[in-house]
Amino acid sequence: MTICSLVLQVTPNIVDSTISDLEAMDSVEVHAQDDLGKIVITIDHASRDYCSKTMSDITHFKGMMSTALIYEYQDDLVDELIQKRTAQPQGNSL
Amino acid sequence: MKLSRRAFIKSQAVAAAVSSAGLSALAPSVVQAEDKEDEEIRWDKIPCRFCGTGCSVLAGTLDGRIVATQGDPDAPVNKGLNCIKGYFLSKIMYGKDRLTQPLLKMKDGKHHKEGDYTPVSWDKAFDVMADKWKTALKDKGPTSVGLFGSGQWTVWEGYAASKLIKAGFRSNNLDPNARHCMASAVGGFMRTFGIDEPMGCYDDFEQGEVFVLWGANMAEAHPILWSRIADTRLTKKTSSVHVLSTFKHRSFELADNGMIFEPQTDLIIANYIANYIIQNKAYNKDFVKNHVNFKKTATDIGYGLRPEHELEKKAKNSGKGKLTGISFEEYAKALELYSLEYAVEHSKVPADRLEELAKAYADPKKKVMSLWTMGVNQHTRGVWMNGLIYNIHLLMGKISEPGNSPFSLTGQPSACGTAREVGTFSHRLPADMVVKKEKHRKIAEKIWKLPEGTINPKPGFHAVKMQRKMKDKVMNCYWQMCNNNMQAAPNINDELLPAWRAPENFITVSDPYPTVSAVEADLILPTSMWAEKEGAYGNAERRTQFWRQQVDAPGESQSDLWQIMEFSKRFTIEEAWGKEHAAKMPEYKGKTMYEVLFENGVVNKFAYKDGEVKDGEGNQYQNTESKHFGYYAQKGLFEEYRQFQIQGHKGHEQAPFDEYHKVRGMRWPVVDGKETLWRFREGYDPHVKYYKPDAKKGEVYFYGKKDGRANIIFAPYEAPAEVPDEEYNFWMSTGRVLEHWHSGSMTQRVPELHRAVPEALVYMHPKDAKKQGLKNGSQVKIVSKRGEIITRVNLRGRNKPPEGLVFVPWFDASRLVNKLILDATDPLSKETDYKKCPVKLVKV
Repeated sequence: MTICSLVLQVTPNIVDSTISDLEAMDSVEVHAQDDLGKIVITIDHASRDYCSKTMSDITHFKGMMSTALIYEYQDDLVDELIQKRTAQPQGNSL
Repeated sequence: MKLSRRAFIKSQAVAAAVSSAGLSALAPSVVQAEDKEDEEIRWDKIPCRFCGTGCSVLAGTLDGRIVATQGDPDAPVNKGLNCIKGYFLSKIMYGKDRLTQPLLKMKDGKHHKEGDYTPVSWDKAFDVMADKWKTALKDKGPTSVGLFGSGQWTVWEGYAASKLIKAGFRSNNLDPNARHCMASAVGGFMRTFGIDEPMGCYDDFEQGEVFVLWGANMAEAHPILWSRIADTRLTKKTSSVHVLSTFKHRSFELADNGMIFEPQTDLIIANYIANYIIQNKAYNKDFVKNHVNFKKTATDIGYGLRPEHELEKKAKNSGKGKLTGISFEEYAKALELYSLEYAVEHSKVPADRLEELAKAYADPKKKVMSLWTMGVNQHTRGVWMNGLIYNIHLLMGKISEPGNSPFSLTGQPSACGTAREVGTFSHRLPADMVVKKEKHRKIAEKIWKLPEGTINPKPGFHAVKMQRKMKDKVMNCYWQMCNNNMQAAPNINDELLPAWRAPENFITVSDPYPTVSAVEADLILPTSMWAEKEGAYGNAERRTQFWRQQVDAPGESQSDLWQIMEFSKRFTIEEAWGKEHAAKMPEYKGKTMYEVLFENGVVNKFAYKDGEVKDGEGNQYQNTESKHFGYYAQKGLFEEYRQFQIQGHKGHEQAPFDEYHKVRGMRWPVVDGKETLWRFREGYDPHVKYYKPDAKKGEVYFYGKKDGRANIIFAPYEAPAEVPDEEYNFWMSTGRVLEHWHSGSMTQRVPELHRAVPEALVYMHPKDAKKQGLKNGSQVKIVSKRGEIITRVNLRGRNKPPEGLVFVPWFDASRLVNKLILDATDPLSKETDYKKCPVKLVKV
């Protein structure tokens, strides 16, 4: 599981059409917006590859002025580390 | 409120984004972590590893690995935002081909240039390397060895390197890769203001109205700063954005006035604007009268090529930077040539657009921020061009106050903090001092406890000259750290490659990865990265930011700091200085260079107990170097470095070491615990009163110069070293793309980024492509007089060059576009022009 959130900045007059385009994308959710063209989205997908590709695609939308990543979480890595820890004797971490 | 794990994480992600965006709608209520493992993730601030913006991120560490990153909401620079590259920060250290032990080229059990890379111990690696350095020192003296460092070094790594080379080896052959990116900016600052780095700061993004990009593509190269400009542009009705470039790029999306100009005619455009201001009597007469001197610079200065090059022999004043005083009238007269008609004719920018730009600068009520990086700096007249932008701001008095800000952006995370402030250039010492001046050498020798005459008064070899001197076998031992010069240096087929492959030369490359540089070295040293060591960076707005060591480095990797200090143990001071000079300080007799430089009672002053580094919440952090050397090395080095700020010219002060671990950085000069946002104006900068005790509130005093006046320096248009002709009929510019940083040695190792943008394409105009029989996706050979690469054509991408120009990014190690570039530099800054290379395109 990978979850990331982004703040997008688009030209104000295309906010609505951009939101429609975003909503049509798999695993993308729009959470907030304002009149000046700011849009908050999350991408929530099993594959980190998908998330990065989607971000890259969004970055190159027409009228997209900036895409800023705010938060990202990779669950698989955490799970893997925790599994490793329970499989090994304690006390060897930092 | 109970949430599922997934919903909880998502709500956190949304809350962070909504708050960063300054939006309130839909913000979920704050919830606490539900899962045990979430609580166990340790979060700590750390500046981003990539560009010069200096964003702070929160790195989440679990079991010795960084598992998550988040834009730091408490960071004034990025206010919780991160660019797309930030997404991959946690991955750059975990590339599959990470080097974990020293590798020496060996044959029959011995070092051999034609041998195979063989794992060796650090002891063996340094024994072989030191042996080569000692032989070179004995045979040819201190100029036969040198170190090529980085604007990505931590502050103390740069400082330790400076001390090693300048005090330890008495050689000035130390230069940073910042020579390729910021040297022209430094030259501009020193000539105009007598002190380095911007007077303004990032607060100007909110305070400003008019933003002018001179050749910069901030949307891709400085995305977070660009988002701050976008915010201002969209919320302030009177604001506007002007973008000047030689090709259309993503920053044009926000531009009210986009201008494509002919390469090199930025010199004409800047002079036209100054001329417009004077012709329309718009200049600030009081400001000009009280705060400015007028000068002209020596002209026909060549192109920083080898002295025997035809172009150098032809130049009347090759390499000269002499300034001569002139009157305002003479300055105005010199500008007369640069009329609107002249500017339009040569730049090919429509008249109304140029006039719109000139009017914005000339309107006394408009606040203007000018921004530039490589377009202006990587320029054979880069120092001149930096100066021409300052001329405009100085004529109008639009400087040193909120929103009025000529602002030189930076490309590397610590080009300012390390390369420039610490003085890792071949002619510099810390805090803007230079080796040429006796007074400066004496200050350095006193702080470093050296006998008089230790520091060599002659500047060393700069980045480009180092390669030439190695090819000529003048310099034989070269150590490259924290950069990838094989992919960055110009004209490698003629200079760098033969230099490195010469049997007389011994090349050491310290790197975390087998870059194209590393695999050409005699010795590769595995190196700790960014979060694997305690560090400090200084960003473009004079902000110094610290971080703690978050995780351990893999295998036997060691930091550059460890390597520099450990290597110095291999030399007695007599071997390094020569017996005669060493005898001047009998107390050093028989000591190692390490003992003289680092166990000097200052660097080793602060005790380090294992695990002593703690954050405010009591979390403990490792410090590999301090554990190894037995004292808090980073703190000792930083505190010694601060002595240069105290004993040298006032104006560079930083806060004590411990303060920086508590804050999101501070902008120097830091006086009485307070940072300085705008320099040179009373009320903002405490040093104005120090230098001019009767200064009134709001008064400007450029204290970098003895008389408190900045220089307006007239410089004319001069042609580039090479221009397209019938055969090589295109201009080629190089640069970055959003997804990759610099030579891609980190970002190309993140699989997702590599897949997103795997190779460097050539961006060109569809009409040009048609003329050459090329289509989108066609394979094409790009040929200059010095080499060729093969790539594919892109006609629909993010960059849209005009006819006659192509753009090729430089991140791709499988296509070394740098070999096409002429080793022409700005003769004053010695910085290479990577933006104007004539090429031809051949369909393959």
